[in-house]
Amino acid sequence: MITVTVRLMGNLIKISGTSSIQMRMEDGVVIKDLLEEIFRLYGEEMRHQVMDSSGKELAPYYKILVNGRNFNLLLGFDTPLQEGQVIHIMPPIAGG
Amino acid sequence: MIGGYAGKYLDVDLSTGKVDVRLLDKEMVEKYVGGGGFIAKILWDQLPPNADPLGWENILIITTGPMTATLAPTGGSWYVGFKSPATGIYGEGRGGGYFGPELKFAGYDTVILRGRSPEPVYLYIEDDKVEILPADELWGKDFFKTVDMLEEKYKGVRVLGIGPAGENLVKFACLMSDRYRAAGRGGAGAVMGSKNLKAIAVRGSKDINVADKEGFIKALKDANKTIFEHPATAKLLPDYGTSSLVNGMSAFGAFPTRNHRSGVFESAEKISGETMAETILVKTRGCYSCNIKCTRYTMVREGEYAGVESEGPEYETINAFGARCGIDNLEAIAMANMNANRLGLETISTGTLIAFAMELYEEGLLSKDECNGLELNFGNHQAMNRLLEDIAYRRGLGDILAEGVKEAAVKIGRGSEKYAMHVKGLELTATEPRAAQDSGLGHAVASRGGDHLRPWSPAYTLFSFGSEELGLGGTPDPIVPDDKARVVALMQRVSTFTDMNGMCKFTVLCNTLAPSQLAHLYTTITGISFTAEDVMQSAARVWNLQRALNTIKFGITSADDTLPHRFLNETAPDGPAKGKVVELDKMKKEYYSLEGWDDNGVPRRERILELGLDFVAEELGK
Ligand code: SF4
Repeated sequence: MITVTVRLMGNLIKISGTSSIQMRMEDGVVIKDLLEEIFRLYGEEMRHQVMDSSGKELAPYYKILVNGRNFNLLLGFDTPLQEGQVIHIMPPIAGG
Repeated sequence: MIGGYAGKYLDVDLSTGKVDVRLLDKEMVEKYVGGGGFIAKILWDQLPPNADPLGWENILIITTGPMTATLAPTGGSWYVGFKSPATGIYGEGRGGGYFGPELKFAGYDTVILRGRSPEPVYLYIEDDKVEILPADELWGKDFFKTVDMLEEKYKGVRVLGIGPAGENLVKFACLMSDRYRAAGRGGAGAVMGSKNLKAIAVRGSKDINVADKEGFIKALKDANKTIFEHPATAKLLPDYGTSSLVNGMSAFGAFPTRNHRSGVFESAEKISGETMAETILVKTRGCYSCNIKCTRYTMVREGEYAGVESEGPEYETINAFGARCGIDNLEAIAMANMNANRLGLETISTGTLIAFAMELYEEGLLSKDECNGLELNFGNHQAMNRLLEDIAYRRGLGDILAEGVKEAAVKIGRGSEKYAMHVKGLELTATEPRAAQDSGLGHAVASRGGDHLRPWSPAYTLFSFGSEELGLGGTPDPIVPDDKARVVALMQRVSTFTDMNGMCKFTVLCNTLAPSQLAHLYTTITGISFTAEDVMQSAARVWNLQRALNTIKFGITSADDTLPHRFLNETAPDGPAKGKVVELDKMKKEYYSLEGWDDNGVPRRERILELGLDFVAEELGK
């Protein structure tokens, strides 16, 4: 088993009621598995926010970071998770 | 007739008290648009290159753009230009609120301020009436009080001015308007103070004409549709303001922490937009003609800072008084923000100076006695707030820090230069460049020194806000230098143009509006036909004119296009950029080549001529 920290931001905090979750997962899981677990815990509203209408891609401008790296620069939904990683699920962010 | 412009400008000599009203030149309009374009051209033509920035020869330019005072989205901008006392080079800033439109309603696009008044004065403008009046009663007052007094005297007036920091020639004093809007990084407030000018109060009753009303309404609908559909301008900025960036920037390892030692702040959440929305936020506000309304109005209701109320703090301010000083107390940051506004201190530089002093204290380079008796450890928010006031009034250590971080490091010595976070004398902003290499390049080559807004390229490189028209798509890798020169050059064009046309950069910061939409708005307002290419070309002209000023007149070379020691020599200790430094040389070489600059960073003759800047070519190689 591995433990990862999931951090949520913006409107996702409102849906889940928390900004940080410690998750125990099986060895060998990937981002896709983690997301499913999160949607199971926090319901369909969370899924509808994070995923697009096809349910296969992230909603526009949403991002997932694995230890601060955009998961598109890794293996996307198939990026393997490792012990101690921090996963950010990030709605669109703006400013300057 | 050209639409969008008032068509006249004021030329005020504060030494003699002479005020001239002049007509705006057609070539000036067509080639330089307004804002930073007007500023660069006026400084090139009229400023003696070796003018002392705080001497009578310096020129302070307050200007607008053709969209200011129209219904163009965020058309409330005014700009200030000057030779910076912090950097000795080009100085420019943009302010929002309502002052800019009011100046145009009074009938003026621009005010040029020269000389130095023998006594403190303020300028009162009401349509054709322009008066220079004694400011004995205003001098010494903070900016809020100054606004109160002028509003009491002249109903409905809009005020721009300085606080005690500007009067005391603090080199990062800014101009304030409409109570809470700030502009003029690099010491515009000190320049105004050096002229003995406390404020400009303006009231106007005229209209601004739009050349093609029907066309403008179409262009406006199209632009507003995009603004209302883009997540940055439709959701995030309205909901959380710029503070929506705090958590995200820290997640990317790009949130400067403890004087830029790191880019990851362990307590980012405590000072985030989300936390602000739940605690001190009262309501949101917007500038003139703005539907985005990114501004937060906040009030601290309990605890040691109870009673503090102000607009903001914005993202940059939260970082400067928060993570950069190791402070995770949002109320203390709100206090520092309010005091900076009141005293007329620019928050980014002020926070940088305090963080610098904190690191020197922790490294044993400054003693408690030398720190005005303060225990200046990172995280000490009471000390931060005390030191902020000491800077504005130049007390003890505050007097040294008031010179700006570059000069303060020279004065302190003891190897403190390596902790001084600036480019060309302008303090750095809230992006950790090891985690966003493009930001390192952007800061190194920006025309006013350590500037993050021309462009704020992390919108694309970190947050993936691309642009079809600019050819920016996919997921760029922020921690490698590849392709960053192109990104910076392209996004620089668009933000330079919004700093010319009278709009707020938040319409383009995340690539919301495309160049073609800016062109459409400009064409219909002015009646001057502009394409997307013209937008890019006119911005390139102005950018290169600013660069020519810096290199040819103010002596900047490639060696000045650099970054603080830390980013080039110390690897990032944590976050996704762990082990990285900024690979500046590679990016800079590519950037110079894209811009058409020679190895020394000077625009080449061919480039200058292609941009229609023949008068610059004449000065090349002199
Ligand atoms: S986006 Fe914010 S800063 Fe820009 S004009 Fe609107 S309220 Fe003002």
